[in-house]
Amino acid sequence: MDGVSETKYNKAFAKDTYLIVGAITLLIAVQGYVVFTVLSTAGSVVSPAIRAIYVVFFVLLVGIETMGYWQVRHSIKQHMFDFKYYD
Amino acid sequence: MTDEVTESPGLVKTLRPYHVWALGVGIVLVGEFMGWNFTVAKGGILGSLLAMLVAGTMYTIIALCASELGSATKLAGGPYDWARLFIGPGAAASVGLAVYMEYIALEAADAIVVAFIAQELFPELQVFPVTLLVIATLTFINYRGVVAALTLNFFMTAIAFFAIIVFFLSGTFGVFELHPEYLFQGAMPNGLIGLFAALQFGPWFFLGIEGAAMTAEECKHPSRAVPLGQQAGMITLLVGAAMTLFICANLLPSSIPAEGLGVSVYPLFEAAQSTGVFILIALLALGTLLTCVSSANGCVCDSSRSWFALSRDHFVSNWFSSVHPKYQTPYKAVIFTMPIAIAFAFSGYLDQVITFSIVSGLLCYVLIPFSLIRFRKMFPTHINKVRPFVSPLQPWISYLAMAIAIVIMSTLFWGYRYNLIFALAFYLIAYFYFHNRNKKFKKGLDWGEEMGWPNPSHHDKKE
Repeated sequence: MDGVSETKYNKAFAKDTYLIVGAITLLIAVQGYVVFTVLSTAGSVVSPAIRAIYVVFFVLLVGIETMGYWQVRHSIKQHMFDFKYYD
Repeated sequence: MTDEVTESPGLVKTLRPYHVWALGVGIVLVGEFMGWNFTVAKGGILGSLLAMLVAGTMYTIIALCASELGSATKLAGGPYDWARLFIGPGAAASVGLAVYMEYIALEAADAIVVAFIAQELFPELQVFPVTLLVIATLTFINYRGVVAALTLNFFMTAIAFFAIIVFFLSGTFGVFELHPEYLFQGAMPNGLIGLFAALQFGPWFFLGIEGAAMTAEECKHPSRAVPLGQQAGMITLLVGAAMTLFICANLLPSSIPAEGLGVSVYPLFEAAQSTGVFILIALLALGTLLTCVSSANGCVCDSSRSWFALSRDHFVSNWFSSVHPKYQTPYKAVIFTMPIAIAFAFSGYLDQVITFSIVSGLLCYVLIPFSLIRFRKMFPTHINKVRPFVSPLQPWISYLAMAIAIVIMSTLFWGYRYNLIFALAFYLIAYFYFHNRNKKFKKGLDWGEEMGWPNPSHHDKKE
């Protein structure tokens, strides 16, 4: 960690973490609210099997994006000193 | 500093994560202000919701693949360079051309819409000169420098996204009355076949987000900026798409497919008009205009980088690979976007131009995950030098994205059969043309010299 301020780096990394956590929370809240509201209002016109397709894709979408963005955090944490991200 | 030009291919490295976000979201957000609602005409509200979820899943995976490949290769050509390195020259050049066509067709469509909006505001204006002016102005901004172009995009995109958030929150917190009965009345007017047919317009919500990774060569720290900015962009679009669908479906009726939300030209703006709240109408009108300009601006940036990359490898004339010494932009490739965009804009077939853009995009969505699968096979070890960002659940999610892209492409048979056949034939001819051209300039790929990587695993096995 030659010439790198660890405190500065930890603060900057914390900001990236807040961004990632905030974005994931917003995604789950908004997508969850919209999918639940639309399905509970209009979903009765389709069979339970079709409704299950919506649930599967909702879980896939939110699950993959959440894991992917969390992996971005892991990658930044792993390389921030090597690649001097915050200089 | 002089205005001399150089053949040195060194692009300026100044971009940060918010520029990556601005490029990705800036290109795509226009699809949430117009176009996505054709899903409603085909499959009703439930068709639209399914299209958003299915296309959203595909684009989430594509964005993750693009983040991993972009932060690893750090090259301006994006999908073109990934296919060149991990698939082969013929496929690479076809993808490069597909990316170029996808963005340039979208730029032309955006410029026309800006001109139509300007004419609605000021009826004395004519569409032809305003379209020309928009294309010429954005080309000039991109010629002068990528930072200025993407900083402008950041502010325009932020305002447009802010407009969607304010509109959604105003509706959910009771500033104006919602009509939940519209959700039920327009749930599924065309039956189950409508749900399937609606998928063909699902890409409108997210078309072009993969282009954010094309800034990699111009980022200060691509291994942080590309994944952080691109995934933030993907989440922005997913949130924006859900808010847009919800608020428009609650304000504009869709029980008759040929009327209302399904055929609206500017659905968010028309939904705002139906509330009668002046500040929201003004905000959404501004958002519609800005998002068209920012989309066209981002398209100039991405299409020129793809053409620049093709030129650098002799697939098209090497003349386009010059970098401006003062502005450090691929200025000849940037200027060349102008005549092509103008030709598309004045072809007179806006819907055909957009469909060609979508088919070009879908071709990329098959080949981007395939590039990632090949990348993982050729370089299976996760070492920092090769792969600083490792996307999760690979290669399974790449197979899923390819399957969804093929299913969506197949739904274009409803209504766009000839466009699909024409586009596929076009890219097949391009493949053979580029394959032959590559033989002329063929040179071996030295992984150490070009990428700073060790040899791929199949090289070691041969030895």
